[in-house]
Amino acid sequence: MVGKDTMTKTNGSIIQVSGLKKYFPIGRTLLGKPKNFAHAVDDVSFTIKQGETLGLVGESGSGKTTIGRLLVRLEKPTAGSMLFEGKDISLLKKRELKPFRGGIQMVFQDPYSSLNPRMKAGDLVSEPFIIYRKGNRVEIKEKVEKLFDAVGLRKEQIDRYSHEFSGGQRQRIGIARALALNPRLIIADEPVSALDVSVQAQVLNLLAELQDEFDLSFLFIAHDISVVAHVSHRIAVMYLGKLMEVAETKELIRHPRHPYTESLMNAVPIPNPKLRRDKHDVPQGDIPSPINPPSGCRFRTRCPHAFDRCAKEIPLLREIESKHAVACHLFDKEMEDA
Amino acid sequence: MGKPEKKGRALTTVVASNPTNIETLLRVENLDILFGTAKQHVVAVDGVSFKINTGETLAIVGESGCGKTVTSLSIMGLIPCPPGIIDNGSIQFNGKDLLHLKMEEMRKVRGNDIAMIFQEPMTSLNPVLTVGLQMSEAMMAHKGISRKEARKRAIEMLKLVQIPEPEKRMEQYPHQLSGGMRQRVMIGTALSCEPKILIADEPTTALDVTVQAQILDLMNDIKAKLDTSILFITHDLGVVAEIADRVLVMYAGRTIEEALVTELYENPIHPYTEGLLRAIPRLDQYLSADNSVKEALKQMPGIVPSIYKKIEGCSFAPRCPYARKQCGQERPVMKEVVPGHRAACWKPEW
Amino acid sequence: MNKRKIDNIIEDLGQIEFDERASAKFKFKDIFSKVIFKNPSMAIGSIMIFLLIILAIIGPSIAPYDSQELNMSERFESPSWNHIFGTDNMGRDIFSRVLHGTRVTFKIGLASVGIGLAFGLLIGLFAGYSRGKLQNVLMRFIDILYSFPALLIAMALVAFLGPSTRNLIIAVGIASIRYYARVTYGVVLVERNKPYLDAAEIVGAGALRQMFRHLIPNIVPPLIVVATLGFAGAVLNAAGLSFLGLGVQPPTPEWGLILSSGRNYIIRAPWLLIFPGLAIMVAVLSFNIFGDGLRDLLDPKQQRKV
Repeated sequence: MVGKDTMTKTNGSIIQVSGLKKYFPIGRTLLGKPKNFAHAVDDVSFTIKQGETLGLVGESGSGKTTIGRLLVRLEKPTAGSMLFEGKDISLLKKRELKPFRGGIQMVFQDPYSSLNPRMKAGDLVSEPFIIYRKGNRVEIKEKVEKLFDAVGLRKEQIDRYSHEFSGGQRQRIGIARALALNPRLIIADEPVSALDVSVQAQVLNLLAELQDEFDLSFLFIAHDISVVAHVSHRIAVMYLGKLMEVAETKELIRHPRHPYTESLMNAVPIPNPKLRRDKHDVPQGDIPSPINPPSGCRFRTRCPHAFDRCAKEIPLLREIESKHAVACHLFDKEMEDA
Repeated sequence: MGKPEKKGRALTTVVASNPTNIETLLRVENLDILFGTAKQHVVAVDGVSFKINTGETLAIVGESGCGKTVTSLSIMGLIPCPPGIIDNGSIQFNGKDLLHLKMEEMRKVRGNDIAMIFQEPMTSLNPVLTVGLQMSEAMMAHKGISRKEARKRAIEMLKLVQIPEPEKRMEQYPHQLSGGMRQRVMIGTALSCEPKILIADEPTTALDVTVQAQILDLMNDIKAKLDTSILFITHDLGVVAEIADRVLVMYAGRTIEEALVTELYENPIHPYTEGLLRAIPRLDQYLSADNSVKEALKQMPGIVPSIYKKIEGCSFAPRCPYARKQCGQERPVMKEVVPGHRAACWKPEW
Repeated sequence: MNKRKIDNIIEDLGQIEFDERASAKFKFKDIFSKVIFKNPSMAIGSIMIFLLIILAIIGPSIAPYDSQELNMSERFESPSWNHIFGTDNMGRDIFSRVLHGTRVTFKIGLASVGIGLAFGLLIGLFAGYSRGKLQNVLMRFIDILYSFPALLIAMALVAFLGPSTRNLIIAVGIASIRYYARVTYGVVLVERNKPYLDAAEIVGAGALRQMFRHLIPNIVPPLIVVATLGFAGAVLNAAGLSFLGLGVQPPTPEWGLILSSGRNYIIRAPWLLIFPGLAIMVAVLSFNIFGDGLRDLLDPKQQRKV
């Protein structure tokens, strides 16, 4: 059971992101100036509350992974602010970041390449303690054993190299490592998409249990909306660097308002042959390149409802109902009419 | 890959389908495939039997390492030997045993009767040749038609797989196409010789959801138009529900359950199938029930058994919540439990 | 908590099998039977190197004569049972000198590879890890070094430092830095983008820790190959410089030097050149063969499918 009750316990937010942008330079001229920019993340704002799981769903090129990397500051934002527990971490330099590193941790997508193949499981998990000088050797060993226990690994496995573990077990090592520094927020970037179905459930359940146990907040990034819906309290839908819709999970799944969310819902395969659709009502064509994103609304080139205003004006993300925000001109019109 | 060879067969895009006349097109029986040497080997496929009827979509579903891909490759005669050894069994297609065909004959079957598409189309497309050239060269070589004719047909095929501006796409290189487009090109190429069976190995796994839905629609569409049988290999139970007529579940190299798709999802017999169905997060629970309570996923303990280990009894027994002593000792065979629904499990007999 | 313990135990059942699978891959006793002897060049190369090392260790003690003892009555003797490689213009036993030379050659080879590898590794590592100015400065410097022949650089250094065995080692080592730097740089660029470095960064690992704790262990295998091949190159360069009189000084028995001092008598006493020349060839060849075998073994892309 995902810890929904914890949501009401605290009112404060763990992280507030506003106006976040990340442009990646593409190609360079002879003078070293970038020829072009990929608009990976373009003016994104959201907050995650204490103990909450925010799901971030989007297809390839949506910029969802970049948001995760920005929050743990593997990337430096082009603009915008990220208030983590009230402190803006968006512009901190590497050295200044060190005290905050422990607070936001990350679980990676690929459990194979995200663990150093030349290190033992125990060394991987104890590394954060050594870096932050948290205790002597005996104390650290104790802490590592506790973490192994918490994520369901055996103590005898401490001395094994990561290639000796299965995918699910490796992901557990990654989770144990992320938990080492008592984080408050965990960025889970596609943590189960590289795993077999039967193992996915193990890891998803483990994350939900750990959330209750350690009062964690999550940003859960995935391309699969059914996985996101399962673990998240709220869902943010992203397309080509922009948030399209943000709402509570049940509300979003039952009443998707943005045409893109709707088509995502139509496209996702449902494991119930009785609900089979002969024709999926999905936008034709492919996702445009983030290097030259469409003007105005990013989705307009594939949107069945697009009209002339969509090409001219960028729709703003606004609440159309309580706790349900949409960035779409269709609803601007509705609101103006009302 | 699917290369057309038979001469003079008219390429028609619309074929009157004949659904009432069900006949078995391909029959695989007791297939055993080993990797290694006769002395030392691992068993990748262990006594697999199934059939594909005309115009039907059979999905083989299973997790990584269950032998689903190896099975499909063996039908195409693409198991590298050594180290692959097809130890036992037969693959009957149109009265021919594919396992005993000469290389030359097998090549003809591969071109004209059975075609295959893969997960990553980029690996089966030549990056330095244009799409049109690759498609038409194949047709020219195997159908003996002129360049002009082949080009015309290639454009026709691109239209069939719903690629916009096919004339323009013909001049493009594979890297200029998106993943979805490439997969469409692959499907078009595979279908250009009108195969009777199209084998699709995880064709949508590398694609985004909206593009995946397009490709699934396309495959359903083509099946209806051309009356092609499809063998669809996947790990995704959602995709299976969208496309399959019949489903075969594989686990650790063995088939463990086979049924029509609705039957399988409603009354799974084998505990592994049941476990798989409960282990996936589903959106439909929000859509159907009014007061749906989010439940923890039912997780299956443990992991897939090592292929290096010889399994006595049922391969799923170590992870099975219902396992009894018998399961660890005697291997269950596929038996019809309910009409049209077969499973390899001792439980229904208790 | 109780439930998770149970999961844990059941999961172990699956895990134990997995452990078996993993351990089935690596068995130490198989190293010779399966790894080395399946790869014939590895086998030949390793046997030859093994013999050379033995000679380098015990050579001087089994040598029939003192390598520097002059014997004017036995000058220019052709190979015979007394002097199987013959004698030189001073009546010294060539066989003994070549045997002694093995040790000298190994000393020069190891030390200069050590110097080249140490500096090259550091330059390549820093250049590959840092993105930006440092990377450009370091690699342009390496590019400049690459615009001269290695032997020329070494000669210039010896000319500057003065000819001696120690300076020869330094010169040959420095001349080979560029080679190790560029290889390291290439390997680091590949490893640099792997998520395990991101993972280390997130748990607070600084640049030095990322480089030395995480990167180096992962780039060692290809560097071992490169160092083995580099050893052969170093031996050749050292012999070349000694031949030119810029390296080891007489009367130390070094192969290149023996070759050089015999060059005036090439018609009269060809054995003065043949045997030290053969020794150089055998040493270089065995390290090259071994290095090639090692590369096949360690580079999964080139490995034949099992």
